[in-house]
Amino acid sequence: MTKRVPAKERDDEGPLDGPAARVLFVQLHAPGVSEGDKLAIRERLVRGHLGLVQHLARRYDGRGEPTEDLIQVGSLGLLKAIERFDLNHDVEFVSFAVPTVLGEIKRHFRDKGWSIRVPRQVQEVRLAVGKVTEQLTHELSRSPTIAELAERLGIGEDDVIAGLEGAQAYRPQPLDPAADPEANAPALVDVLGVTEPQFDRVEIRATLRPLLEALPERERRLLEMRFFREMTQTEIAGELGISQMHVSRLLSQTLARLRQELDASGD
Amino acid sequence: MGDREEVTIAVPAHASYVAVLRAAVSALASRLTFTLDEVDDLRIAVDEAAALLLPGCTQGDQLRCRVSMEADRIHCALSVPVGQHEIPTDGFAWLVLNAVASDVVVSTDDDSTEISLVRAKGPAEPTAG
Repeated sequence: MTKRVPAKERDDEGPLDGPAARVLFVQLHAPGVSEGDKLAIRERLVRGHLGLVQHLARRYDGRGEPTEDLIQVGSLGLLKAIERFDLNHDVEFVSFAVPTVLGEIKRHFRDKGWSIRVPRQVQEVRLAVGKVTEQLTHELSRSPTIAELAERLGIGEDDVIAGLEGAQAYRPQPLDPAADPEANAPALVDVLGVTEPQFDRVEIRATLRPLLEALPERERRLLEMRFFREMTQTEIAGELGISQMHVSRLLSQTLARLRQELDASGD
Repeated sequence: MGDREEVTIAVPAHASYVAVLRAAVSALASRLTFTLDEVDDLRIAVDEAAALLLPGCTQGDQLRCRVSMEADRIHCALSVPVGQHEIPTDGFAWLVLNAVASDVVVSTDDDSTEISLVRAKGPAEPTAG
């Protein structure tokens, strides 16, 4: 259902249809447009497509990320789409924008998930599910439900199920030939030379996640700003309105705490 | 046809069951070694198609999803027992559906309405003009 807005308001606030967007793109790429006008046109294009971004972000509800964050990330994708859209293409802007916005949201889950969410590779989810299953079984004195696992991991129930499926699909072949005396082929253990160096990191990330989640909001934000947004201590101090010394102290305390908990859970 | 296999799932025509369809379709797609991004697109396509079909449904109706798999593509046909169901093609759901899937077709008669879609391996090929 389209919300009806008065025509006057619609001119600069409401959703844009294909032809209206096209007109704006023509203006945006016209020769001799001032930077100020370009900015205004881009803003209008962004506002005109925010509804689309919100719609797309909601498709990722229940995957452990606040919808507002996804809208932010999606808006970034929208901006990229506005930059890249070529009027010569025979598609409407929205058709071009949807994959770009979705791509940005997917990337957010994939790459930047370290502080927020276990990477979605089935293998990795499987490791995380295994770990958390142990914890929850201990805490609840019974086997946890899918919903409980999903909540603890901050991922969707679908992803947990995929992780459980993965546990079946990736059941390892026996490494030791003694397990299969009929086999003439060389044992896997002889073929596989090295340990995949990422494995350690995967496991650490999987373990780290619940620990990060357990941190107070401020400490978690602090880590995110320092290591994810790579802000300096001074910048963080400015943003949080505390002294740089305080940031430094909080950071080292938090890291020490994480290290300790990581050691304790890694036995 | 030996290289085309089919799975049909029916769930109550209610939004809370769409997750079941999504999970099933994802599992089927992963058998075809779809990448996570491709599975994601397919899940969104199923979501959007269901969102378009469900509004006309009443208690007791079933939402059916017929999935046929070929080596490099999945074809999904979602249907509800609602005759002459008008599927809005001017909203986001329709737009998104066409962006993440190809060959989106709506067909309706007096007894049922179906949305069929295809997701092939590789980047999505939008069909919307």
